[in-house]
Amino acid sequence: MQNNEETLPGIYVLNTGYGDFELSFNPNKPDEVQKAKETITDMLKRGYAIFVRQGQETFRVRKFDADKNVYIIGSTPAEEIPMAKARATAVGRSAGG
Amino acid sequence: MAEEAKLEVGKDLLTYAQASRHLAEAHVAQRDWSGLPIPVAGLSLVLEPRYKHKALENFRWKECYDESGARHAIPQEPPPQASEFRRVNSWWSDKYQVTVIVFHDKQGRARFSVAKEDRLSFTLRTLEAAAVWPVEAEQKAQKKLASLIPDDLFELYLLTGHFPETSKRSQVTYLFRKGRPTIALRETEECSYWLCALCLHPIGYYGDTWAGVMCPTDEVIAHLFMMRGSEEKFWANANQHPIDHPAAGV
Repeated sequence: MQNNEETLPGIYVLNTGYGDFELSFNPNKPDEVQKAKETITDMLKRGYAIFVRQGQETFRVRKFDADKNVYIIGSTPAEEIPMAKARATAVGRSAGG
Repeated sequence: MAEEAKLEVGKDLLTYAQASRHLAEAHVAQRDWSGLPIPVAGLSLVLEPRYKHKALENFRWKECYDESGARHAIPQEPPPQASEFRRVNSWWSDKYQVTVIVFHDKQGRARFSVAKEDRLSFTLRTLEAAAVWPVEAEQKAQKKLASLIPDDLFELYLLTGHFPETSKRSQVTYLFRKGRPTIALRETEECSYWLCALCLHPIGYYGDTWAGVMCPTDEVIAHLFMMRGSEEKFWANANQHPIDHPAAGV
């Protein structure tokens, strides 16, 4: 995975030291896609909230389908967003203050 | 005994913000995607209960160095004594502007106490916590925020530190504020009225301050995404402070 590639899909993670840390990947490179899939799966497992934009709307990712490489934002096939077309934002587990 | 090697500021000795950056870089490989929170001497670090590095809450700095590299010991607070009282309830009294706390003693008899919290103390402690935020992180977060909201609202944010957005789902208007909880209000044709202040910090925050472990605009971005993408979770996860409570930051 690479950092700061403006044109590639990927995921921004809000980060204490960086502001946001960008993990982008080239959809044509299987090793980068695999790493991205593992990262997204790991983040969801650890309770990160991942958000993707579709048009003017923002959706929270409910699940990630690692076989189809899609973010699932609802319960129908229409509510799936291919990871290769999305620039997502991830937020770590949140505590009320 | 050999003379202590001279430590160099910026190389061997880091500021909180530099340490934050270094730790974030060092821990990406260990899948700490959000970086690491930095404890601050004199402030209590409160972390999300399931956070992997929750034990950092108990970390205490024992020494610090001044700008010339001279070492100073940091006085340690004595460990809290076991109390015969158990806290059973508390609430904010808007009439008296205090938090009323009810305790039970060993015999189960109720006692009460009041805690006064003032805004100036919150402000001063928040200034202390600000030392952990790298300026570059805040600048980067502002660049990201600029890509998420209309230009006029971003200009308003730069000028005043806050901007409003109304939820399409609930019609509640949210006033997102830099370094302060988000204010939720409902607007009608006749008037608008405050609902509460929503306080939420990714990973954690410093107790009795408005400061989170992430830079202020990152927290605004988190609130904005939560509101847009998962409004019900935003309300569920945030602490809902009465608008006149010092923690609301109004």
